[in-house]
Amino acid sequence: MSRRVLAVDDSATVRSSLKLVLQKAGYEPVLAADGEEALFRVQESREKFHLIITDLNMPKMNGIELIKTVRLLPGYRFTPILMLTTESQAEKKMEGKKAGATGWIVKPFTPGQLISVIQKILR
Amino acid sequence: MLGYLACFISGLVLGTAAVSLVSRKKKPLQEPPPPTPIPEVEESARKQEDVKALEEFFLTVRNVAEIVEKVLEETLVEIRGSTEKWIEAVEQMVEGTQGGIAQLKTTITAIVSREEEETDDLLDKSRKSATQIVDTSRAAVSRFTECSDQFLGIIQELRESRFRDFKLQVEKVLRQSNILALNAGIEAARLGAAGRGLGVIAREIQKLNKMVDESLDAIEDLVESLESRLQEFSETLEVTAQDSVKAIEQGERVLEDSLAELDQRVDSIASALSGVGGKLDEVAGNLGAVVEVFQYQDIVSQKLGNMQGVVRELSEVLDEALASLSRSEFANVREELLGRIQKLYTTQSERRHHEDATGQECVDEKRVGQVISELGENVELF
Repeated sequence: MSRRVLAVDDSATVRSSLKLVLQKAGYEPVLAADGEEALFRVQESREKFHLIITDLNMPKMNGIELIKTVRLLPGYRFTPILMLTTESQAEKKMEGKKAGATGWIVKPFTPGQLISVIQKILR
Repeated sequence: MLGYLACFISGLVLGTAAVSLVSRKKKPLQEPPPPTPIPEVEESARKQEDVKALEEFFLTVRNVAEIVEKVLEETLVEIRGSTEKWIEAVEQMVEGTQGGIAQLKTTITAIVSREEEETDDLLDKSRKSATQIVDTSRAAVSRFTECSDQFLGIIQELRESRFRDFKLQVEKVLRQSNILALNAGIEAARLGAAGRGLGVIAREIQKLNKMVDESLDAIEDLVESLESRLQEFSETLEVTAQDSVKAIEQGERVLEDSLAELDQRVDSIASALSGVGGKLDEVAGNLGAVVEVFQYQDIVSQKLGNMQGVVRELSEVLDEALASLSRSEFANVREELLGRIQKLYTTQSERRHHEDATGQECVDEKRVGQVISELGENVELF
């Protein structure tokens, strides 16, 4: 059974890119355009997501708030969550770490790089 | 308006409206009263202070314009680079696919003209494999045209929405700062030696405004030409995709007709079909190019949005300065404005340009997590 990955980004093009990369690598991607939609996807899903990849700056609910909320849901305390963003400020990374992020990737990324990170943290 | 501003700045620099300045100079009651200044000395000091406030104000405007100009310049390179990569990938695909179609047609013609024996089992096996290739090819054509449409959509969105709003905002600021720079220039000339610094800054702002204006025009021209090039390209792609579908369908028909014939024929068609489908699939699945291009378009769009925020902040400051026309509006603007715009950046390069233009420390990229060399410098694991 393929592993389910929730990819959250307000940019439609980044969502498309993530979908292409994840599908090609054999994962099952589910997409959301902001934190609120992501939270809805997590709550409505019967099966747990194996990984969440989220952008930082998004409307409605940003990536940090999403991580904080998801961490409180049953079964998501240790689920890997990757931040995928253009932000590289130490202060923001620290916020992400405190909120419970597993890793931080600064855009632009290459497909191979993303898949290597995923394989490493899901190993 | 210009005359009014000139009068204002003139009055301002001469210190006729410096109420706040007077109140700031009040001393505690315990201290002995200060000696009465000689009027000429007091006026000269006030004049110098006013000129300094104006200089700092204009320096701030110049710094912000520099940041916007640098980010625009970078944006131009990013749009051009990512689009060229995309076009190059697609050109290779079109060339390859056209070659593949020609090869497929030749194969079909050659096969139809031959007669050979048949073997049911092998035919069935080959049919299955060829049908699979036909399906894959169709899916590839559809995925590829989807990617292409999406790319054109991004460029159109960039031009019609994001860039148009940004341009309007920048044009407003250019008008405002040009008026101020012009008046500051007049005032600097009146002040003679005391206004030399102010005059230099005012001229630099006008120069920089011109550069920002030129960058805007260059981006607009580039985006427009890219759009028309992509439109033409899209038409070529449409024809290539249609040709591919036609060739695939023709191959499929011959394949059906060949079912009563030898598997070798089926295999040859299947192999030629695979060539066309494979080429299409190669580009549709050329994740490196697609993902990279899509990300750059996203980053460009984000930067234009951030710069729009920066320009909006600057515009508000200029509005206040033009409306209230008091010296206090010019003083202490720098720290407040630069502090506000720092919060608008989301990329490393924007912070670098801010640091270069203002001399203020803005980039803080210390490691927080662990960097694993094989994953790349842009990845940190916590």
